[in-house]
Amino acid sequence: MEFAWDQKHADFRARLRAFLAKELPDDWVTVSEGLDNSSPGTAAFALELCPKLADAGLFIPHWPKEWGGESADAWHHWIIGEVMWEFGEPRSYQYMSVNWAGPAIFAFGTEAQIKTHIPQIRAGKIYYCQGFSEPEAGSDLASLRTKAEPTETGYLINGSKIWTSAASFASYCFLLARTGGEGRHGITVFLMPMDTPGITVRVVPGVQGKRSLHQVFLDNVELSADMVLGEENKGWDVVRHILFNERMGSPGYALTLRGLDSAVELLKARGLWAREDVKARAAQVRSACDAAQLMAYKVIDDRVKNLPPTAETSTGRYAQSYAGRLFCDLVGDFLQDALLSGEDPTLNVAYRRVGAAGITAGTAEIQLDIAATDLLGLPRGA
Amino acid sequence: MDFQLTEDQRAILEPLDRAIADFSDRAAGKTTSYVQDEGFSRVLESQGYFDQDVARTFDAISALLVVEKAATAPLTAPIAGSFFIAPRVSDRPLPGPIAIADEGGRGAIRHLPGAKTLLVEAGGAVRAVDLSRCEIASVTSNIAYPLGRIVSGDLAAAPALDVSPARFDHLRRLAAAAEMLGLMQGALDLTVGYVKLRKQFKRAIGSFQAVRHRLVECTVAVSGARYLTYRAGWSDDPGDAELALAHTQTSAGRLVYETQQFHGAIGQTLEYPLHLWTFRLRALQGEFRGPSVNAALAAERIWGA
Repeated sequence: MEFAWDQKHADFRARLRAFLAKELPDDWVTVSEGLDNSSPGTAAFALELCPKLADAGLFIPHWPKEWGGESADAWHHWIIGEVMWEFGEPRSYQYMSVNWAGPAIFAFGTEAQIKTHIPQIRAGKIYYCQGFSEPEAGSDLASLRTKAEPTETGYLINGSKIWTSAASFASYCFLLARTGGEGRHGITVFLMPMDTPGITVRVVPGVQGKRSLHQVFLDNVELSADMVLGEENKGWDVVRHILFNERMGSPGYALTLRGLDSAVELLKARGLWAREDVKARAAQVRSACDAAQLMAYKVIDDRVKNLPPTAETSTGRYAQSYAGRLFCDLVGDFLQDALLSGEDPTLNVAYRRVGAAGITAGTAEIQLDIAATDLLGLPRGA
Repeated sequence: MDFQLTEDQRAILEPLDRAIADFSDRAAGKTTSYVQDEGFSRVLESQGYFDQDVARTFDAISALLVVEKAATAPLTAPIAGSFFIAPRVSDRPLPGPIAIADEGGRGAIRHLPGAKTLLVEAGGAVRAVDLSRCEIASVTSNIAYPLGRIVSGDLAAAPALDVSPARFDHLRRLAAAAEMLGLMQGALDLTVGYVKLRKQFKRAIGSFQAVRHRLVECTVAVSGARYLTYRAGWSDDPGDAELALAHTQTSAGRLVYETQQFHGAIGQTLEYPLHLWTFRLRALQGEFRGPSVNAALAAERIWGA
């Protein structure tokens, strides 16, 4: 057991921080519309920043060389996530392209799909969204109803998706639709261009950010057969691949830690730091964040060592949402006025974003259920 | 960054694991608040777990792993003093078993009955007290450890060790956190095993979500506490140790409640062994004035007073 960073990882983190310090404008908080990674400002800025990251070897170093990366270990991926979240994720939703969209296309895509999509992802010039959840299919994703009926040239899609991040500015959607019978075995994944006729996108005003939630309506959308990712009716394999990468793909605690530092500054300014109970509460948030970070590191260390994945991915994810809860309680209990006035963008964005940590990539309860079975060996319910 | 145990660490834990497996049934049927077993202690001694010169060859993480592992047993043994603290406060081996006390030796002291040396801060220094020069009385308690108190003896006259009181407290915090990790894991393992077997409403109670979810939350609490404790052992930073102990103590409160709750009434009896872990957890939950004080101290180190 060793907690020191290798020099190469420490150097990589320093290089990335220096890069961002140079590339982010002085008024980054304004440009990003309050460190909102879903805002038009951040999304537009990311289309300039990500190509520069790519040129500097700071975008996909962890991707295999044959995909255009440098085959750097998984720590590089994780360090990128930590540093980006410290700054409010200036890649906007391109982190999804790098974390799970590209890897899924490589794992399941045809040669033509790889040729179409990967160069754009690698260049930092494209957004994807995830057309998974539906109004009646949330945690029970396999009950989804959006239908894909075969036609002479491909499929006709009808249905709707909801809670879709980045849908209003994504170029493609990883769309799940039912092509067969009920349950997991009748689902197919499509790489759907978002400018296809028949798609209507509605922004759902949300807590997290300006364009983090959407509803997507699909009315007689015609997709060609070559847009199927993987095999027809075997989309669940793709889903599992994506969720595995997504569950431990984004170190949200990095933003919570930054929000906590802001909270302490505000507590000091208000004279509340003299109270022992306030100090204790702040440290409880810190220990929960650090615990979540170390549990995430354990998962990454397993990846680096090519050990088989375990349900520690789920417990690590749960630890992040728990830390977020404690942070929100601290802010709500002692910094009500700052929260209401919005005077500190870091505090505000951390407060808004961590609230969703128990929902995205499978609810906290789903994570608990996975770990109960796979980690503790408890019997499943009736 | 490496979360796997080294070969040396696995090697030092293996005989301990075997001893725990071999002797755990000695606790069966005992209705005392703690169980000490001479056979268990003899095996630990023969394997070098009370040998301070052996312990000195291991780094802090390895020594803390031993303290944690020993605490997973339903049997109590004063291993933290010999294997973790003594080698870090004294250049020469001190006569064992070793008990550790709060400043001035006040209150009930764990493992004092039977101990030969007491490590304690007295008169502004950390001292190794020869207990043969002190009068000791056993303390009868409903919970936890063999306890004793100093009736008479000039603790401040004992030889001072070349270690600061702050450093001594830091080491004690690490040892307490590691011991609590083992105790939490022991209680959790027992409970997970129990809910798989215990049936109500024609189902194992471990199949109910109310039970499944809360036991995973306990697992999350223990995992987090474990990594925080070992990080503190690695960094040797007092703030990390305060943070780790605070997190562990907070987690312990939850562990005690949940493990008792899922055992139902059987968990309230002394005929069932759960209390052999939970009583010790309760005893350690308030070390250094408990989680809130430890957390506030950590906060001052992180963000200033």
